[in-house]
Amino acid sequence: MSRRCLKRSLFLIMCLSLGLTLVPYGVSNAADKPISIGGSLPLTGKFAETAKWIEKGMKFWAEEINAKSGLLGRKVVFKIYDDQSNAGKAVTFAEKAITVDKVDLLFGGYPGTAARAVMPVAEKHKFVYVSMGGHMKSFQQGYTYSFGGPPLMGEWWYEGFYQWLKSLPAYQRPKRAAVYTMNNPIGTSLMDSINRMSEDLGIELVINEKYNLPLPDATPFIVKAKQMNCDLLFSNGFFADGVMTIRAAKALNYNPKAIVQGVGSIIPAWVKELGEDGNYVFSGTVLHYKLAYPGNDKLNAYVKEKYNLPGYPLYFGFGYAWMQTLSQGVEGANSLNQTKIRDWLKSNTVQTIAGPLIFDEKGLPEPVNFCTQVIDGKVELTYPKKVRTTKPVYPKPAWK
Amino acid sequence: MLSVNDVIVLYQKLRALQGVSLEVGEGDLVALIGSNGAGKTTLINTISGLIPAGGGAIMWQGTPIGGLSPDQICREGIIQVPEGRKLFSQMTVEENLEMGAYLPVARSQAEESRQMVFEIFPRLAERRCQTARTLSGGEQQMVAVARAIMARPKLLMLDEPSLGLSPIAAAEIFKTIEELNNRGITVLLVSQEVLQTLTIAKYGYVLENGKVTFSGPAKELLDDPRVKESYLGL
Amino acid sequence: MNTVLVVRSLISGIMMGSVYALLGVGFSLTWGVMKVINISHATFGLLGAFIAYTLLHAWSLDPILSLALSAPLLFFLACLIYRFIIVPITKAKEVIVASMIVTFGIAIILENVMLLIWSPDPRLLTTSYTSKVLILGPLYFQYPRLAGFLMSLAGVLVIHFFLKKTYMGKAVRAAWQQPDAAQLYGVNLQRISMITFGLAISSAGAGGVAMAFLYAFEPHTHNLWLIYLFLVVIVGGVGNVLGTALAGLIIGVITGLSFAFLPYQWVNLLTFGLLMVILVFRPQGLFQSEV
Repeated sequence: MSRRCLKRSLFLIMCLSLGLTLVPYGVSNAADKPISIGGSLPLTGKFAETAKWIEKGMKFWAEEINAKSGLLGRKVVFKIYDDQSNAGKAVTFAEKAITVDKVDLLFGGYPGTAARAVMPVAEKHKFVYVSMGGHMKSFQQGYTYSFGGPPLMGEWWYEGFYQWLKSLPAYQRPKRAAVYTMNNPIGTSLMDSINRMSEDLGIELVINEKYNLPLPDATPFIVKAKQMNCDLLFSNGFFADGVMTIRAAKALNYNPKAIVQGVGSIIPAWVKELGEDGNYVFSGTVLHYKLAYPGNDKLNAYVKEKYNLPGYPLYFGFGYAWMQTLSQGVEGANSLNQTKIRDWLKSNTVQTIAGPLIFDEKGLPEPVNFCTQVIDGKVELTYPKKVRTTKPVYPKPAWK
Repeated sequence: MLSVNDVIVLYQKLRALQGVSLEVGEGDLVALIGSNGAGKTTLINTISGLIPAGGGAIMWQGTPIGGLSPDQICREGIIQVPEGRKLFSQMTVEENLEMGAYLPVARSQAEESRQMVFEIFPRLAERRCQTARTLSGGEQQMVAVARAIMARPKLLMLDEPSLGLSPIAAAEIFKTIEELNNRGITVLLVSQEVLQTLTIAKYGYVLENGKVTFSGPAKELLDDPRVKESYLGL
Repeated sequence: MNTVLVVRSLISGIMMGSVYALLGVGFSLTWGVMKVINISHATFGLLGAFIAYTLLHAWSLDPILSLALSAPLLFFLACLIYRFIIVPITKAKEVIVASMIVTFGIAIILENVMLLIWSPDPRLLTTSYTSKVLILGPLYFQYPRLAGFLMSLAGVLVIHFFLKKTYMGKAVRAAWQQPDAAQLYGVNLQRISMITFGLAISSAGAGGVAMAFLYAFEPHTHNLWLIYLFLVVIVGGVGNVLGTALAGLIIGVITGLSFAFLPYQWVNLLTFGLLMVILVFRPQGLFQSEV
């Protein structure tokens, strides 16, 4: 009976909402109405923590632009749904924002797979969608309205690290790499730059193994890497398995020239929880609060005042940067016409806190990736030289 | 000592016991006989507190015990040897006896009780370290009775103690029950072995379809033609 | 194949497996004795880990010593939960199913409470001996693993001796084997069940600390730990304390050996494959039920 009740009430709600949308909006001047920007974020569930920072970054952008003259002279308002970290719900809410709420713009950028799932929706309704994407594959589907502005691209993750290695004299470079990669799309995408760039630098992948999550034990990784005399260790995993690998390396006193850790070392818990043991780990990023591009200082000042943080969290920056890209598209096209916005974005340079971005036909900028290293408990930018905050520590000092 | 007055037990809507009354005097050996499904086990379990009574009263030494939980009734000294023995099958004989003397009063006398048990069942002394489920049926029944003795019963209720035993083993059990009664333990014996039961009992009740149909001194029941016809096949 | 690699993997694996056993032993007991599949078991283990983490940071209290505080706390909490949540459902027709649903709810509530208190950030239990190693010839014993192993050994033995040697422990076994008969001989089932539940949850706290020595944790981690619980308990036999311990060791050996001889990807496949095989061919577990 409850099911029937539910159906009936759902039907009622649908009728009501349909009715509401049919009520004419009146003839008020469109220019007085704020520009509505809709979509969903995983405000609860698995990705809640990152999404909350994205939301804060977006709202900071809105605050800033509303304080000035607004976008195209109009105020902006967000209509944010909570997709509960569920890609299916994200799709539904994107559809709803476009067809029911009739928003003017779509905001984007979810961690994980939801961005990839929303891309076809945006394409279908011809809505510009600026997000981190779902790694390279999501940008290879032929979607023309999707932009990675900036994207989070596993395939580019070690770009900066390899470029830095290349800048070293050949005799200083590591020769034998042990690569342990989690067996999932993110792990696989991290392999992309390793496969592309190792041979070029004369680095032999002596061990190249995948493991399934959850990782029960990392000790054997290190035992083997040590035995095979590997002087470069790639731990292509998340936080939990990354930490286990580092701890095992310390316990077994394994001291390669460099340890590179995938995406586990980019979250604040890495330095907070690992302490000194987390130091000297290399990784990559597309965005960093110490970047010298315009805007970063402003964001840092804001989070310092509001959240007492030394620098803005990564996802705060993403939320802000995507809105930068979208709004520059709108202003460039001087219209809310999605196709015009798209065409402007494809033929102009966008200035973001992650640097200037020029999009190709896939909606991607040039591979951007900065090499990072944890030094004294802080994630420092170590390469390229123009963004460098500190010189890299290499070879890695022995464990204490 | 124990008086059951007009007890009613309902199983769902069915009346398993429809007003049963019964008296057990101190030192008596009272027999409760009847065919399968007559309600004998239900009555015993109701006295033990496993099944709630739907009406009537159960008095023990002058106070009502209806509504008490099984462990509280055990504290009163009313001990049941359940049908099918219900031994702690993965425990040793020794541990089964220990569990019999679980309550503090019994535990303080455990050593004495144990000696008595091994005196009555010398075979169990040999088997004390064996797991209960490895014993023969007769031995298991001995453990069941022995466990009850360990609990220092004032009233010992035995439910079909001879079920599934060889005639020799059954005879031994009945002999033991008689002996326990001679040692001063009050006994309420439920059995389908009508002849043997009534032979050792002092008083008997016949239960049919949840009602007491006849009762009287055991000897008189043995001579009753209806009992002879229905239960002794004579 | 290199012997040193095999032996080192094996040692590491066995120590890991023993920790699963400590976490699992109480789960096995509540399942076996009370017919309650306590989905929130690992959640309480996680709570123990968070308490240890907090005490470590607030008072530099060693995580193992912090158990002296958290174990009684968990015991008390478990008794309350037993009295007010578990007792009503033991009257349900399908106790096992009802218990799973109710304890799933407890797990979710507890998870959210932990999220509120400790935020979703991942944590590590880092002590002075976290990255120390005992080196015996070619063999390496990492201290946190060794600590987990010894805690597990102690925990399993304490529970084993409680069940085998104390009156109350025997009453627990009796209540499991023959609940009616146990009552007839004076065992108060509710009280015994409450104590069993309390003990199980306290041991979960210890298991949680031992797990935290090995793994990073955050308020959702119990979902993962729950899988390990089912693994050791089903392999070892429900309600079987020593069986659970042995299952932990077996899983450790399998993990260690497969790390040494097979591609790393196969490890989870093998251990959980074992679970499936046992569920199909020997649902009572590898070992004769012993409690």
